[in-house]
Amino acid sequence: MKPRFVRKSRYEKKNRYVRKKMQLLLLIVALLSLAACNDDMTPGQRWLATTTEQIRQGYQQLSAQTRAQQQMADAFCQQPDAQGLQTMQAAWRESMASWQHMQWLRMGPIAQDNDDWKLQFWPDKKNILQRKMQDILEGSEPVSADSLVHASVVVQGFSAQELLLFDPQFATVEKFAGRQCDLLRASTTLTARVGQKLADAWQDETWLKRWVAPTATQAGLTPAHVRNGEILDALLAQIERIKNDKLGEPMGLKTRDKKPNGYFAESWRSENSLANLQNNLLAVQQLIRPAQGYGLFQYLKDSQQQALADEMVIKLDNAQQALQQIHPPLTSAVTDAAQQPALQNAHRALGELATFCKQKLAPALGLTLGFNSNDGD
Amino acid sequence: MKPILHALAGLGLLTSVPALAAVSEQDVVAQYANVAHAVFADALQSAKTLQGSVDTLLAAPSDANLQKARTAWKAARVPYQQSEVFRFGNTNVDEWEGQLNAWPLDEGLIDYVVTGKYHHELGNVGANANIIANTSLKLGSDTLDLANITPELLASLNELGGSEANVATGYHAIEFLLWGQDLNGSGPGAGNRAYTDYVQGTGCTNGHCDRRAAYLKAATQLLVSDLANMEQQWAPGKDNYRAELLKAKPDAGLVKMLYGMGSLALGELAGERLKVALEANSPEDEHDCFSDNTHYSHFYDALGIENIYLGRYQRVDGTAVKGASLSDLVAAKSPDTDKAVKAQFSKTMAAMQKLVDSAESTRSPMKFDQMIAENNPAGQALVKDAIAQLVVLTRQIETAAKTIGVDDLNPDTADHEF
Repeated sequence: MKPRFVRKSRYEKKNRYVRKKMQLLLLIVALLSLAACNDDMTPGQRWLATTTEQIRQGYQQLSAQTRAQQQMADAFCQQPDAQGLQTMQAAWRESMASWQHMQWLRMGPIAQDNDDWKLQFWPDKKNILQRKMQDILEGSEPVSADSLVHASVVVQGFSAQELLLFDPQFATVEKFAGRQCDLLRASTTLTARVGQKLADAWQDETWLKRWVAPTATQAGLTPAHVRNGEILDALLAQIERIKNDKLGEPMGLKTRDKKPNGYFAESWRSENSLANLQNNLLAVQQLIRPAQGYGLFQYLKDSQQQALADEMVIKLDNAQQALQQIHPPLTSAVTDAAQQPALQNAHRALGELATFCKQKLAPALGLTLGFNSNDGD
Repeated sequence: MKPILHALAGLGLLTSVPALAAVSEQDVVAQYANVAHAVFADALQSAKTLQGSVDTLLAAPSDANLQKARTAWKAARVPYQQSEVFRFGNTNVDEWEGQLNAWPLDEGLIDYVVTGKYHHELGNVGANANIIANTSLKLGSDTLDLANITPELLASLNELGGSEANVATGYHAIEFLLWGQDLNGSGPGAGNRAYTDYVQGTGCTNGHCDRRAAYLKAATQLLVSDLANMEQQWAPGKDNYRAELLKAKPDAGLVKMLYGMGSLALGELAGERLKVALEANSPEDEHDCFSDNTHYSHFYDALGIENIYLGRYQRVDGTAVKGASLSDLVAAKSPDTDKAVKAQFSKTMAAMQKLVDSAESTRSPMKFDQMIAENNPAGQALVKDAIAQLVVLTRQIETAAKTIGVDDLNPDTADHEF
């Protein structure tokens, strides 16, 4: 659902000169990480400044975690042992958490070189991953980051590392003696490279200028309004993905006889599925109500939309609470009769959150909905 | 827009500007239904031709007759793929189409496969059911009777055990029965099933040739009857879906048209069918993976989208179905926008044509499953360009929608209307 603007928010109405000045100010604010408050900025600009700072910090975190994971893989592969494997698994969960926190953002630098798929290929119903990993392990060409970067994105990121570290067919100390360690090191190196690249891209002044001053798709719209709309659109797409793909698919809701299939859960091998979902919603929560700075909640309040702001927070909280009622792991919960009410409840709460965004929030913000890549089968 | 144009036309102000001929939204939706009817009628007719070829193959199995059936299958795809744009937005078409065009399928459900070259969906209990080799199938506590292969039985086996990959019917099941597994991965070559798989008695290869023949016959029969039903839904002068569509407010019809175009262009064609296969370098995710006819399937999907914008369709017999179009409505509001949308359609179709040219080259053919190979940057570039053009096209469709006052392309809303 790509929101497009039908009318201009009254908070965005500034004359051209002031708007230009504001853009520069906003850039400076963003660059100096002083997003908290600036009286000269419009509410839309303050909201964008805070979000921008959160994105920058999120990618810094991703970069740090994936770098740590790579270093641990290097250390682990010096002398693989059981404790080292556990440490690796923990490092993977930490890195995955930092990625799940940023997964909602599918535009900007991450979209330029398909980096989101390089970080994580999913869904993978036909288990392409295992087949391609097996081929590499059985091959004779040396495995390194520089060779793996030319291979399918399937074998490059978190899903590949998860297979090596958690799948019983692979995740034993003995298996890490030879090529499997080369593959783990190559894969964690590529993931760390992408993390670094994204963190760097969001420090880049040329990009930040473009980010805060996009070319408006419709005359009369301020750049901040355009960008805030895209951000909201990305959040909505993520909420729909959580509901339909991450929860609905393993619950079997897309098929005729509604038969659940735990293999369709994201991160089923590590049983990290529910942790992913909680992280996804935590990211949404922090974007709406940041600990510091100016979020959508405040923006709505300042736009005389207190009731809407409150409803948004309640809907999100309901979804987060509902997810907590599911007993992990999701892979077995979906086939457990006792878990069905909790699953249905979480699915419904996510649906209500998505519907709220589409039917109440978007119109109140002057947004209209178009296509996104979720449309289709 | 409509009343204003009508008023202007009434005053004679538009007579010298034929480009601004006052088409009404109602005319445009009616032409959409005309195109749908012609497309489905052609799909039906070409499926009947396929059925004739299949009957000939089964009556007299030979390599020549197998090739004829394959050619008929490819010809049947030409109108059918142009019908895909009607799926999204028209719930009745979307609910109906799974039985005809579901993919990817776990072909081990249907017939023999080569172990080690067959990769099925995780957790699919029916992935190796082999309906052709088995007269009954035990699934949990249930035992299914498969003795008599009929269109009804096959239809009931779709999504067996809750897996979408269990596709027992439709074009791709028939494709598998005519071509067999493509064992070449990203190398040259399609499926290579021998006609002897249909020889009865001595000479039958791979066993169960009687049941294989019965399966192919039943699947083709079901395809024809399904298409006949859909053709009737769009036929004029009946109490059917077309009548319902034309009775509703015309703007509801416009939403269906635009939603269908955008959803097919972006989410389905650029996303599911091109990008997944490309980025994963996965021939398993190729649309027509047995026949290697994927390039044409994609081309005709895109042409179907253009048909809706231009309110036209060229029938299999060459006659043109032309009438009031979205293009007319957009041009009346903004000639520049209409021009830009048309230009983007040209670019998109040119990118699709390149896929076709590459795959059909007589000198050095490169099929879709070769284009997406890991070590083929030139092939990948062709697919990437097709994706890029479709993405831009989708944005142009959104602009066209806004130009004619369709602001809300939200699929949920579209579902709730009429």
